[in-house]
Amino acid sequence: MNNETTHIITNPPISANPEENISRLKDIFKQCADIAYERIAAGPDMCCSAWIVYCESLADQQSASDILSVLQKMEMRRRGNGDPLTTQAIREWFDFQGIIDRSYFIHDTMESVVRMVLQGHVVFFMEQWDHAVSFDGLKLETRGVEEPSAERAAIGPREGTVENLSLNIGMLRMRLQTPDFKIVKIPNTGRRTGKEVVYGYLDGVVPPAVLQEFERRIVKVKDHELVDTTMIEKLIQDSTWSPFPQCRYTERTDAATLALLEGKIIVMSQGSGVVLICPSVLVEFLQSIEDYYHRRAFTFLIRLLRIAAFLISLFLPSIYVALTTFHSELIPTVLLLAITNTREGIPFPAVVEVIIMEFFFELLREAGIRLPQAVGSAVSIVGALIIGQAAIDSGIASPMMIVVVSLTGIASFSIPQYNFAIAMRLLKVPFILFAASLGGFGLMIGILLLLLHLCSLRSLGQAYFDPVGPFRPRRFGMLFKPWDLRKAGQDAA
Amino acid sequence: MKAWGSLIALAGLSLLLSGCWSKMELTERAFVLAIAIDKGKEETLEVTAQIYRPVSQFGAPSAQATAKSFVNVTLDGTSVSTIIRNTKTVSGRHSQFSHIQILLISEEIARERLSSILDFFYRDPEIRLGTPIMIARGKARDYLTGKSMIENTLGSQVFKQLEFSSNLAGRAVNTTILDLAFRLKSESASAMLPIIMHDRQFRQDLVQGIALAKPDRMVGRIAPDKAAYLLLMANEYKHGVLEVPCDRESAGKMDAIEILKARSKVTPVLKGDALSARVDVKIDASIGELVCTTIRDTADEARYAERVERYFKEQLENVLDTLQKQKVDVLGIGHKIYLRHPSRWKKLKPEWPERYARMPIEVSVKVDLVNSKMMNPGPFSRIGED
Repeated sequence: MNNETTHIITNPPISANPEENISRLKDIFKQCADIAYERIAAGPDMCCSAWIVYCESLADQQSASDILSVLQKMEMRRRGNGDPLTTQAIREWFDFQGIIDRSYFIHDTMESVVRMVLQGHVVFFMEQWDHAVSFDGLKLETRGVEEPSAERAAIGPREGTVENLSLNIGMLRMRLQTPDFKIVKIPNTGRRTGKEVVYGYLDGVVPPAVLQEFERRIVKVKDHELVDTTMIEKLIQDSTWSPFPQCRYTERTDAATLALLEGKIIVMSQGSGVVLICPSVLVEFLQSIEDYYHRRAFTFLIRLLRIAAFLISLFLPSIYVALTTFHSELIPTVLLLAITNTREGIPFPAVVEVIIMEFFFELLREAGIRLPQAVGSAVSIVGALIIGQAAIDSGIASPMMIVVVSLTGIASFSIPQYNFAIAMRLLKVPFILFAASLGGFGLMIGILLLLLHLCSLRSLGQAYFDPVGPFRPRRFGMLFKPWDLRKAGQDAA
Repeated sequence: MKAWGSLIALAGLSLLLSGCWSKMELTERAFVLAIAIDKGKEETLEVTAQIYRPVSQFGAPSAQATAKSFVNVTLDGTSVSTIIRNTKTVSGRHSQFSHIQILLISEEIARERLSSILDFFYRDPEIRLGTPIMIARGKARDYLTGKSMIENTLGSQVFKQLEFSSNLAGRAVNTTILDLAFRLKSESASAMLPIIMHDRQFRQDLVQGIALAKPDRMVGRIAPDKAAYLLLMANEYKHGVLEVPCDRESAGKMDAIEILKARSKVTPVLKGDALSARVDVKIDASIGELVCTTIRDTADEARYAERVERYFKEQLENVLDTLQKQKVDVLGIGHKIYLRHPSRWKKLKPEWPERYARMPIEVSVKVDLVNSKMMNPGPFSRIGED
């Protein structure tokens, strides 16, 4: 599988002498304290020796003792028959008489033995047999299934993914009981991490062109050291430099199921609870799983609210700067007088003021994320005092600016997808600069550039700004209401 | 890559090198909320600009409470634009005219010249064409000094008064400088302007009455109590309460009628050389207050409506008479003739003011009592009892 030369000896055959195999393994696993080697004397008169090798930290002790009992049974049978041990005989024995609750693997190269040990298998070697048998003995502590803290919903299931891949697949399979739900495994990605990556899709629902494009790109994952599923995004995204994310993430199994029903491809990997959903287009970042659970009218209003939040988090500070410094005639008189009252005595121009306050806000946000909860609340108190009170009292910022900045912040929090909200945070800065240099005209230039970018952006070949980018008024419904799942798959044709 | 880099650098430079265009912070601007134009000494003008004075958030709260929220800058000179430009030398900030709430012109100067002082307001790009204009009796500046009743500044106080007076009381007409231009440039060349006056007895300013204007100057006034009838004919009456005098037995007392909706139609009739016009006024009204009238059934109601019609017709004719005497065609009869018979209007135009003054104008009034307020004959009376 892995043709690159590593420190592992290239495909040496397994010797019929277990002692030789063990010494070779000990050489490979030099300085690896968690590898256990156990010699077992078996057979009549304890004449025959067998060796069990496993990784203590991965495999449980129970698997090792299971093997011991298997071995003893096998010895009995061998003595009774007197036949020499062949691969065929071992296979038959395991298939028909062995421990039926465990699948076994037979290896003939040292390399695969090493890999299996590292994946938590218990491997044993026997005398007079140039093969090895392994059982999956992996036993990892897994976090319990609980509601993902980042994606709470008022109603709906409380089930979230965990760091155990097979458990995650199981939870999805429970929700999609159809053979159309395909799960494709890509084992052993990366030279050192050896992570198992899995992607899934609903056959007949996912557009074939998208799937084909995805499979062409996911192949690259083989050569990458992955720590988390999110790192896969960089391999399959269309545009690296775009501020807009082209994949969504979820930790909710119901959200992942819905994505599959909508014709998306999901990617998961061992050791990560994150489910990557691709391809994703802009409107999907404004959707939340709850939209499907609430009444239609409410969903419509919530969508309007989120679209407003999207626009506010992107444009509010820049519009404020443009209006107050260039187009004060556009502000209604009473509001204008209120703003001039708040601005009076502020030493900075509006753009400097907005940049200072945005900087404060981002700083506090960054500080609050990293800190433990107990200290985090202290940060928010200090932040509220600094931003809310002291900044105004000392004449650094006007109350109206606090309203603008905090409204922008709150709007970005109300966008359901965190990675999309980050794009808004990123983009508002150039917009502020555009507004500060050319006012509404500059803002217009910025918006045009943004629209150009959005219209040309693709996600796995799908138009990102659909249905606005390629203008499709008939599909405008997807902006305001959940997908009609009965129609799922009709687009695929 | 190099090309892209230089392109981005150039684009960035173009943003910065533009000098930030018309950038000006709020703290560098002075917002003018009202302008008053008075007659100065001899041929000069006296222009007062009411400037909003922002109250800083910092500083002692007691100072904030006592600080006035506006200052008046008065300068005199010969042309409006130079005076207004010079206000900066007094206030120290750039005067911004985009938020002018009201433009006051004293009657004294308006009677002398109107178009020449208004020219600036049509040329300046900052001034909104939706700015209301008003004639002030006495010194226009006086209406901007003193303390405002409710609003922040006297400019907005006057503006609010005007809005109420024209929309709900039917005692003035809300005329913007755009309306004024339309009216004065039409073939009728006459306009109505609201009037603000000072009530000496109760020491308060009232917006009521209508000034009649020709392009060059203001020519006359319609008294506040007659203003409603002019508005009824000009189709400018929105809502309001009008009084109807009682019969001889209870002279001096008045019934009141609330106008819910009024429409009017002015039709000029040109037959050969004979010129006449019709004014049809239709009013939906409800009984506001009955002092000397008793209404028991629909016949009574009809009789009452008829009485109102009669009285209204009398008043309307009275106002029309004034208009004709002053030769101001604010109903737009001339313009209507021009629209219908443009070629004949050419011949008619030179002698129009005289023809207008002499032409017979027939008035008809139709009053519908749409809501008689439960038909109770009078206050505290019981049904069946007299």
